[in-house]
Order: sequence, then structure tokens, then C-alpha cells
Amino acid sequence: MDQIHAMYFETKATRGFLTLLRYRWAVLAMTFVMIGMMARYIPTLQRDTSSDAFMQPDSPALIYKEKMESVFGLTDPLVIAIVSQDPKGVFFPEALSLVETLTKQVERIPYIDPDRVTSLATENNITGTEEGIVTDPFFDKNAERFTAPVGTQARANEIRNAINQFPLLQGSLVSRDGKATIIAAELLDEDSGTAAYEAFLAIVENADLPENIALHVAGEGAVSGYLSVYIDRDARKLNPMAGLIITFVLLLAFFSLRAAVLPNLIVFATVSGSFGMMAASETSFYVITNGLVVNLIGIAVADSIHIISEYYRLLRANPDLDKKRLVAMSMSAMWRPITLTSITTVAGFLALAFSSVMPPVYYFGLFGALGVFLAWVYSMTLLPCAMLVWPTKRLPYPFKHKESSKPSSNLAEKLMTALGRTVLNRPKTVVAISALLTTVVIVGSSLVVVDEARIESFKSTEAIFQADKAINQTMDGVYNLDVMIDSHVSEGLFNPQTLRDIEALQHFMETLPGVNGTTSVVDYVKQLHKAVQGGQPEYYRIPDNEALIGQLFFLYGASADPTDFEEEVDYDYQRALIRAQVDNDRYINNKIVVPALEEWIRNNLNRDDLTATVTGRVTVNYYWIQGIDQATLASITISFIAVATVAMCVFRSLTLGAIAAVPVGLAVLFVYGIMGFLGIPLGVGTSMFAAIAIGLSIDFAIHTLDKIREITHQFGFDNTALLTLFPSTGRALLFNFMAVAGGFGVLATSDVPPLIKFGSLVAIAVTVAFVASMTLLPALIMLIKPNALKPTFETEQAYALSN
Amino acid sequence: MHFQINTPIAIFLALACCTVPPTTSATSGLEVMQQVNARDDGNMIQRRFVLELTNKDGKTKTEKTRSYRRYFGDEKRTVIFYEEPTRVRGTGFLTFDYPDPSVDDDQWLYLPALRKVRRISASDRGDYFLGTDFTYEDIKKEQKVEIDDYTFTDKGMEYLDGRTLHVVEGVPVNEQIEDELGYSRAIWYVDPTIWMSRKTELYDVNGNHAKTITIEVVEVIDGIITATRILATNHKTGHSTRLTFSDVDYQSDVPESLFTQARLRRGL
Repeated sequence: MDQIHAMYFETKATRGFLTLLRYRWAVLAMTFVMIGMMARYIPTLQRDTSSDAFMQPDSPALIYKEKMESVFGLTDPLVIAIVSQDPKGVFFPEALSLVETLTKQVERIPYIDPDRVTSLATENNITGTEEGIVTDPFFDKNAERFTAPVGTQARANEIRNAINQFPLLQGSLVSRDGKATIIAAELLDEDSGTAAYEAFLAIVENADLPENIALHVAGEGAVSGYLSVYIDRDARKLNPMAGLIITFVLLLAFFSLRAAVLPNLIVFATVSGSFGMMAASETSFYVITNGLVVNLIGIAVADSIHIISEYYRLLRANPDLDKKRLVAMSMSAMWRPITLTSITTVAGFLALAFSSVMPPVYYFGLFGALGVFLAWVYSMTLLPCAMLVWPTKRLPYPFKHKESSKPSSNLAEKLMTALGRTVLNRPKTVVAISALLTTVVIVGSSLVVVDEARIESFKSTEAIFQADKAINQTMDGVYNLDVMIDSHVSEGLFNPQTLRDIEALQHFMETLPGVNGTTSVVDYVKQLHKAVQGGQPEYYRIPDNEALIGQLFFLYGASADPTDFEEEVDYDYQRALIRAQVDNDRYINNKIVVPALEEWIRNNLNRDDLTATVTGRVTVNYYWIQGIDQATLASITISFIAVATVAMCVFRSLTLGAIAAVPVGLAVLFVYGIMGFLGIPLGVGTSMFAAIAIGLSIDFAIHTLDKIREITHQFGFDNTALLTLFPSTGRALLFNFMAVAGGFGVLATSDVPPLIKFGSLVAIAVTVAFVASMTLLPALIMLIKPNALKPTFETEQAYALSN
Repeated sequence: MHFQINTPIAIFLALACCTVPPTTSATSGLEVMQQVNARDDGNMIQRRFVLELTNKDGKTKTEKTRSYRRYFGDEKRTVIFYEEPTRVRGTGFLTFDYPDPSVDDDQWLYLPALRKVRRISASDRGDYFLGTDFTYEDIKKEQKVEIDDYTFTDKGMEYLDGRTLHVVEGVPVNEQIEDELGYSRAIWYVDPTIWMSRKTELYDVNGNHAKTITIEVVEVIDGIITATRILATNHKTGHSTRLTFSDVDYQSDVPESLFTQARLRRGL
């Protein structure tokens, strides 16, 4: 069969590549200049690990949240939780003293605003007496309402009793069961989250802990800060590992230094080009962009594997030809399938880009497509020139003849031939088994659910993950579900009916799953009302008198820093924020809570003079994951149609296009089936796999069909002739598959669970696509015998004569 | 604690500025601050003041008050009645500021909608004064400084807005004072012609630039040097407060009966 390639000897393509090789030094120089020009931007790449980055900047949910944060001066806090296993909870002298010490240390962290640290050590107990209002710092030795000395169990008991009378602090500052309390701090500059998180960790590590006390550091400020470091650390581990694995596959395939070095050169050129362009276009490096590096490594190496395989096979068949011609002939044989597969992979990436509403996914698709294009350009130009200037022309071990009469002899070739024989002899069995498996995975696919929780971007062994869990179990919750109330007029919040509506809304919010507490200005009004009325419990209610409400607001304002109240009401007392603390951020929960709240507001807050908008972290996350929920099917459909259409155009046949799409469809279905059976939810990482897998999987089908067509055009649907598919293209595809699956498989060792899932799923999809292309696809061809593959008249005659 | 915003810094003209020539560079930081503290602020005073509170978005709230202050021996009593905004008209604060620093001030509040006088807890020195960007300490010292709180360093002379000013740096003498004040460092730009800091820069306990207090207008009223417009800008929150005094009167008698709970309830 190798002799077939001699046909290309004088083709236009060969002549074209010979011309290119004549100018090899110029081509090399130009490409290296190009690589250098693109790579120089890489150091300017900006990282953006915020979860808001996943929303379109103009999406209503995000705009409302940003508006709310601006109106109410909100920042994402860092939190230390002090969690106790002691029967007395945190109310014993050593624990309270720890709170005080840690608070002082936190106040001295340079990135923290010392005036914006909140803990039992900074807050006041506000009580009403017959005479008036007493404001006592909990830890003040001269406190009026605390009689026991600071540092005694009696004082700790007094503090516990005081908090039991102070609903505003319950669940937010101290857990309702008294087992935990927090120290919350605001950053002076939100960009210093990472450094502040590390400073917090240092404080916690050096703390002298009483028995039964554990400390945890968490909070959205910590998560965003640490995620960026975490992702970076992961990338530094993953990317070299992907490079190593691929080099290992190359060495295994070729036993040749050239075949290990040159594809790595293409990988370097592709990756630096894509990320250089990313930096130059000021596109951020998002959490998921890490997956793209490994992705491009796998893709860039695949083209080289096919070209170098072809080169060695030609060299084995034509040992006397000069190197330049051999390289030109290899390129001439491979440019078509490589171009076709590049087009289909680009189509897959672009389909991902244009079907996604999330900017990180959009850019993943866009720069993925750019990377595939660059890999194609470099494989068509840089690779042949580099192969030619490589000093040796040695035929590596796997391609050497053991016996001159038997052309194929290496293990991979033998394995693939054995597989081919089995498939070609029993095509019906292959199709039947495939049909059965397909039915099973369709059942599995129906079990897939959409879910995502950002904290699961960290491994469950990470301190931050455990902190999140511990705090959400003991406190009311670290996730916020907010409603912004707008009364449309200045001082509109003094209206008692408005406050009563807010109160009713809070009561409803507290019935929602995951919501353990709510806070609004109404709580302050009630607390102050009780305080000015001598602390009588029956006054813990909204006053009926509008003037009194106004004066209570004034009293609160006069007793605090001028911006202290801004987290609850705006400057004109026109807008108020109602904040619910939710103990989890799972989409499964969010999709119950957010629509229920929106419906309640529609039905119960139907006033012309009042607007209520549901917002906050929980709402934003609900809307962006809902985007995945709705966009995934569209994304898969678009990608599938895109690659199938390209395949149909390539082969100029509807049947062949449809057959090419079969391994792709199976790959996606299998992965969904596995996800369904294993209970892996569809989230950010997992939703992207399908479009990428489609773009990669089609390559196997195209290489296979291209080769089959070449064979059948000459020899018809002959088993013996078709068997040559397996040691030639089949072998190259085996190593192509190993490189791609290995590259994505590396992601399984990541510390970022979404990347683990993404990598593993793509690896599984590629495996299915490879196996299906090598089994089901030839079996289908044997059974269907499509017209487009039938021999042309001349070759048919020749074939008939030769038999 | 006391809060008595009202009495602006005053010095008897004769004592202070006019008779004392500008100091030489040999003057120490401590001496400069002693000169500042030597100003007289009058035995009794009545005046109006307007609080203009502006947030980082440029939104402004205005509050208008009438206030009175009188010394009872070493004890200082202050009463403030709010006139605007309308919703708080009649709200009043009464403060007794005792000379013994270990004795907490007494404070009472009257909310007209409640028709009750309530005693409220004493404020700490570093607490914000009536929701403004000034702390109780800033207000109560009336542009003076508690000498025992700081270690002073003379930073030389500086030419600012057409005036030559003494630059004095103060660092709290210990951490407790630092925590009480909420400042780790202060820099005063003292004008030797009036012995008043034209501009004061304040740094929080972490050394962040927290606040600037600028005296915008100074007048001589009844022979007493009086700052009649003062601006405090909080650099961390972007919030600012401008205090403007008018109808300042050091001469008329301020009756002792003004400083009672009954009078607080009755209003002016």
C-alpha cells in the first residue's frame, strides 16, 4: 500500500511543498519572528478568577448586583470563623479572649480597613433601660450593663444572654447555637484579596488555640483571592506534565528524537501564539482558560503525528529518495486530511464560542479556534521545513523492516491489524453491540442534572473548602440572596407600610430552603424602637408613627460612622437592601429559591410606589448557571451540525457526512451516559466538554473516512484492501488518540475539580470517538457500501483485472 | 464624654496670636502644640451650625442646628437642638463633659416623636460625632490637642497657600491611646499667626491616610479667633462633612437652665 503514495510524487501539492522547502530558511526565520512577536505579549496577560466574569457584562442580573453594591457600598468580606466543640460554645473566657486577640491582629493587616472589622470585640450591646439607651462594647471592662469582670465565665455568660436578646447578631455574628462566631473584615482594595487571605492564614496558623476550638478562613473575598493563586499553581503543575506525557507518547510512537522535538516546537509555537494574541487583545485569563493550554497541546501535536508517521512510512517504502522529496510527499499526502480535521475542529470551537453566553467560554472557543488554526499553519510550514533541516535521515526502530517481505512489523501496527480483521469479519456484530451500548447510554443521559457550586472549584481537602462547609453549617450562611427595595422618593422608607412590606418579605425569605436568616433596616428600626422604649420586648416592632421612624433612623445615623448604615439603606432613605444568608450556593437550590422569591414579589409587593428587585450572589449565580442549562443543548446541536456539515462538504456526500458524524454523536452520548449513571452534574466545566469533544472526535472519523475512500476508490469494498486502513491511518490515529487523551487526561490530576471533570470527560469522549472510528465506522461502511465510496470506473476496471 | 461641637476654637486675641510673634525654627513640636492649646475658646457661646454631609457619589444631606455651650467650673456642658431636616426638628442632645478623664460623660437624647428624654451611653473619643466625619475627640478639643496623648516632632516650616506654617507630627504615646483615638499618626500644619492648624492629616492604626481636616474660614469674633468653616474628608469612604458656624456669640449670657433635661424636652 505504501507504493500508493508514489502517486503523489508529481502532484500539484508535492510541487507546492517542494517550492516551500526551497525557501526553508526564509520560512523558518519568518515563523520564528512571528512566534517571538506573539509571545512577547504573554507577560501582560491579566487574570480574572471572579465568578462575575462568567456573566455577560451587560446581563441584567450582573448590572443589578453591581448597582446594588455601589448604592450600598458593599464589598466582599474575608471571614475568620471561630468554631467550638465545647459544651459552652464560644462563651468561655479563653475563646472570647481569642476573638479579641485575633480581631486586633486582623485590624493590623495592611490590606484591611481597620475601621471595617466586625466581631464580638468591636460590636456594642445595645439595650434599653427605664432611663434610656445603653451602648456597651461586649468586652469593655467599664461596661454599664455587664457586671462580671472581663475574662470570667460569669462575663461570658452575660455576653451570651445579651446576644440572645439581640436578634441582629444571631446567625450573622454568632451562630444561633452559640457554637461559632466570626470576625469579618473588609479590604481596602479588592485586588489585594490574595495577599490578605495569606495574612489571615498566617494569623490563624500562629494562633494559640484553646481546647475544642478550631479556626477557619473563608468569605467571598478569600475565595476570589485564593482561587487565582490556586489556579496558577495548578497550571504550573499541569502544563509541563501535559508536555511530558505527550513527549512520552511521541517517543513511544516513533523512537525518534526528531519526532519528539519537532511536535513540541509546534506546540510551543501554537500555545505562545494563542496566548500572546489573548494578551494582546486584552482578554483575561479565566478559571477555565487553564484547560485551553492542555487542549492546544493535545491538538497541536496531533497534526505532527500524522505527518511524521507518513514521512517514516514513505521513507521505509522509498529509502533511496532524497529527504526533500520525502518531506514534500508526506505533506502532499497529509495536507488534505489535516486541513479537513482542522476545519472541523475550528468549527467545533467556534460553535462553542458563539453558542455560549458566558465570556470565559466564548473566549475559550475563540482562542481555541485560533490555536487550531495556528497549529495548522505551523504544521503546514514550520514542520516540513524543520524536518528537512533536521540533520539526520534515520528510519526509527518501529518502522524498520524485520523481514523484507513483510512490510508491517511493529506492535502498534500488529494490534491495529488484528482489530481491523475482527471488525471487517463481523461488521454486523460490531453494529449490534454499538446499538446496544447506545441504548444504555441514552438512558444514562436522561439522568443528567444541571448543578454547580463555586466552592467546588477547590478540592474538598482544601482548607477553604472545609472553612466554607464549617461556617455554613454553624452560621446562617455565607452566600447572599438580596432584594433591593426602591420607594422612588427620598425618605420613602419612613413609611410604616413600606417597612411592614419589607418585614413580610423577610418572613417569606426565611421560609426558603437554605435561607437561615435575613437582615434589613427593619431589624435596626425594631431594635432601636425597643431600646428607646426602655427595652420592653413588646416594642420590638415597627412603629406606626412615620416621624418616629424618621427619628430612629436619625438616631442610628447619629450613633455611627457616616457610612456605617450604607449597607442597609442608601443616602436618601429611598432604597433599602434586604439580605438573606444562604448556607449553600448550589444551582439545584438556587433554582428553587430565586424564582420562588421573584414570584412572591410579583404577587405580594404589587405596589406602584415600590419596586423590589431580586439580586445578590445567589441570584447572579442562578442566572449564569441557568445559561448553561439552556445553552448546553444548543451548543451541542450547533457544534454537531457544524462538524457534520463540514464533513458533508468535505466528502461531497450526505451519507458520508452522516456516517462521519456517528462516532461524534456516540462520543457525546457516552459521556452524558457516564455522567448520568455516576451522578456527575452538568456544570461550567462539564458543559464545555461536548463542543470540544465534538471538534476533536470528528478528526478520527475524517482521517478514517478519507483513508477508506482512498482505498475503496481503488480497490472497492474489499476486506483485504480495507485492512490496510488499520496499520497505516489506524496506527497514526492510535497515537493521535493517545496524545490527545493523555493531554486531557493530565487534567484529571488537576487540583481544580471542574478541570478534572472537563479533562476526564473529553478524554473519555475522544476514546469513544477513536474506538468508534476504528470499529463501528468501517463496519457501517461494509454494511452500507455508500455510493460515494464506490470505485471510479477506471480503478474498478484495474481492480477487476488485478484480481 | 462630651460632645460639644459648637464652641469653635477661640483664643483671646490679646493672649494669643497678635501678641505672639511667629516662632523661630528652634521652636519644638511640643512648644508649637502648647501654643495651640493656649488659645482661649470663651466661657460661653451660642451659635448656629450647619452640617453638610456628602457621600462618595456627591449626594449631600444638610442638617441645621442651634447650639449652646457653657463652662460650669471645669465642667463643660453643651446642648444641641436640631432645626432641619423637618423630620428631626426638636431633636436634642445634652452633654455633660466632666474634667476627670476617668469619669464618663453624661449624654441625653430627646426624640420629639417619642416625647421622652433618654439617657444614652457616653461616646468614646474615637467614635464618630453625630454621624459626621469628625470624631468626638476632633470636636471636643476644638482644634486643640491633648498634649499627653502624643509624642511630637517638629518637621520644620512649610509654605502652603500663601502662609508659612509649622509642620508638627504627633504619634500616640502608646497603643491604648492609638486604639482610643483611632489614629496612629497626625500631622498638623499650624499657622503661627492664629495658633491653629490650618490642615490636619490623620492616619489610621494601619498607617493608611484616613482623613484630612481643613479649616476653610477663620474669623475674629468678639475678640476670639474662631474657625467658622471646617471640612473633614474621609479618604477611605469618600465621605466628607463640612461644618459651618454662623451667628456666633461669645458675649450674650447662656442661661444655666438651658442645660437641663426639662429644657431639652421643651425645646428652645
